Amino acid sequence: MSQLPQSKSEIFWVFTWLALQGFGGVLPVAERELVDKKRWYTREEFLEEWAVAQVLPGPNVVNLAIIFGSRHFGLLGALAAIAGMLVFPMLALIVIAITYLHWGANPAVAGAIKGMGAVAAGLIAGTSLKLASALKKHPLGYLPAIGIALLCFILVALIRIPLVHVLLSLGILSIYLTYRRVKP
Amino acid sequence: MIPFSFANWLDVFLHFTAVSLMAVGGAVTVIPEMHRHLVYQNAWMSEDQFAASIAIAQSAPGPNILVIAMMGWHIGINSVTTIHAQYLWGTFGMLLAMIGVMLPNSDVLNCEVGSSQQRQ
Repeated sequence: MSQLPQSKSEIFWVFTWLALQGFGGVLPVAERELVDKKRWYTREEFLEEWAVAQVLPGPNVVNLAIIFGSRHFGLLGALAAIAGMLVFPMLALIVIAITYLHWGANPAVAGAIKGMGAVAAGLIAGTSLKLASALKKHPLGYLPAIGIALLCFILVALIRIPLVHVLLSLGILSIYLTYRRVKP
Repeated sequence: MIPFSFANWLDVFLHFTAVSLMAVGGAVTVIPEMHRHLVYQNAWMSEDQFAASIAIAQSAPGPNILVIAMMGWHIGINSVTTIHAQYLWGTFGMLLAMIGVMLPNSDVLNCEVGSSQQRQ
């Protein structure tokens, strides 16, 4: 049985708290805070709403905040949740950005940023490898699916074709091919 | 310094809105597209600034979408020279970029608020 948020300010502070804990992604923290701690969602409700938030246009966590806030307090609730998610992290970011602006040329700072960049690149590469392993169960078969992924990489990262063209050609083509394979 | 006109800022705003619509699966998926437009095509920020934007946004607390805010910041500080103007325009770029990227969310806002009012 899930519980209800008491006020818009409670929503604001809970979203602020979960956003400030989210290093490199807010989803795991959001699940822990909203499901386990506050019990505003059951696990199933959370996963369902997260799936909806991913399909809708715009940043996913912002969608989740909007859906959650507006469910309980309408427009103002949605704004409270978005503000909670973004205000304090953006203030922190401005402080970090100003620091980088002043001391970015310092070798120690430049080195630290390069190191953090390497970690970020590693995290992104790790995520794509994890996603690639899911292609084993793809209806088109493992090799064709990997082929499409590689072709996309070449078009976007090496030849630098605008993403919108790639999505409209390769994206629609692969949806069509998959549809032909799975249709009854 | 890279002089920036109203038309340039509008281009930046619309670019982030477009990127937001294409970001199936999170902010990370549109990083190559932003690099193509902001660094490769228009040279609005350096390679180092682009890489630092990603590194800082990933290491700082908050949702990953804040990488867009860092891009806006760097475009803003490159458009002026004095330090106080950089604070001002950096923050302006940050807000413009975030509003641009969240514009598609307002559709969600519309239908969600509409449906929650129906429920009441």
